[in-house]
Amino acid sequence: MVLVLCQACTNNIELYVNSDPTPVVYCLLNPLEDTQYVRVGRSFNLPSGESDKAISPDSLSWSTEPEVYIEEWEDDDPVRLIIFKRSDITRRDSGLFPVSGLDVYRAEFKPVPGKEYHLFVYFEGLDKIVSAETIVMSAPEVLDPYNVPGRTISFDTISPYYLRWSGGDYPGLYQGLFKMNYSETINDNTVYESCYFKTPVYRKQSVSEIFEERVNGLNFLKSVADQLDDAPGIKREVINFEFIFYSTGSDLSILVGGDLNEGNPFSIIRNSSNIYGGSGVFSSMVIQKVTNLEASLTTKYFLATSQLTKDLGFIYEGQ
Amino acid sequence: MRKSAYQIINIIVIAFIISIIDACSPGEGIDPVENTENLDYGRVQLEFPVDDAHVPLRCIKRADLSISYTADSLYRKEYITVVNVSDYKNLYEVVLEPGTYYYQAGKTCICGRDTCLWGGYPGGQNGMKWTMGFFEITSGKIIYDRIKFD
Repeated sequence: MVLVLCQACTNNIELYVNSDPTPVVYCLLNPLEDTQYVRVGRSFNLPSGESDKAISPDSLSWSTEPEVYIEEWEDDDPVRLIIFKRSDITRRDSGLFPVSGLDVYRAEFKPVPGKEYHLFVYFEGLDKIVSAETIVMSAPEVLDPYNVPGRTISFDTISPYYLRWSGGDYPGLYQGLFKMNYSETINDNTVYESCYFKTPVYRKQSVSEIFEERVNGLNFLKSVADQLDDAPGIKREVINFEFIFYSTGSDLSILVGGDLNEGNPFSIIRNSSNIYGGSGVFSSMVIQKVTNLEASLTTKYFLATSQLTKDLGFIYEGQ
Repeated sequence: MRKSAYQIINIIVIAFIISIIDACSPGEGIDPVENTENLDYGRVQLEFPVDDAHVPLRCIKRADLSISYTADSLYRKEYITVVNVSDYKNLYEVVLEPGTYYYQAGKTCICGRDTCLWGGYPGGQNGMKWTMGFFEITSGKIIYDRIKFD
């Protein structure tokens, strides 16, 4: 009896098991755009010991083309059907999109903020269906920065910057990106470059008239110092700033909420998905831009003289 | 006696857990303004109204609030800080070392036709009105000033 029991036990754990691939579906509806995209891929297992091998594009896409469609719902009933067609374009929404290996589907329609949408991806031959639902967020209004004649953006260490926006309905995650355009001259050759300064990700769950977030000017200088290298004889001059504001719907906010609060033991939700029958995400996203923002003289002064950036060759008018 | 000892231990454990959780909250990094609560600095609160008798409020935008050590530094554009002004904020607070400071404030009118010209903005649309003033910073004190445009 003892011998039989001992033989039944084994210390070998099978780390890699063959399983059916799972559909991976991403769709972020943009209420400001006329074209919407759905990305369809599939999960895969690498055989044991082959994790350093390049992934074959065939591993990521399905051999059978699925039917991809979205239903617009009103009062608990579908009122509109939008069929997606396979797209060959390489310019797509944000994210990593290889030229081959991932299938992207597109449809021409503009989602209506506040309306409910149901996404379906149906693999007829494989008897698989993937579904998800979301309510489209309304586009936020960026209040600050705002382009006013004579107004400048100031990232100095005395006056902090404040981002302000009105969230609209179904708020989720927000992140700002300041793009600093500058010229770079070395040996009479001038080129135009840009560097980026991103704000933290702000998670908003309540509807508010105006959200306000403080941006530390010292972090701007640190960010510039991290991105640029000094070179003997180089002269850099700030041209202007652009502000790019990313907003996502409440569904995406819940899914990545765990990652944002990593370290808080009460909010760890990782590797989750609002896609039924697969993984991925179905939510909404808006990207807005405020261009041609003038840099303040103190921003230029601090770039030229602060301990963090004084060796990067920035010049200002007073020099 | 034994019960109260348990209560004290409980309080210490809870306080310890709260301090750990608090220490984990994501921050933005070093913020010099947060470090100015000590008495080496003072604060100025500048109220920046944009009301004009002849121009609708929606037409007027705050454009500039710059601070210098001297009046002629303002003229030479040698500012120590340029405050980030907004249409959604009326009161601006700046933390500074003790001393005398000068400021310049500018507002602009963005409406078309003769609205801005009638309101006294030079050149009409996108014309600017400027003013200046000074204030004295004292250690550990908050002073207040209201910006006035003639």
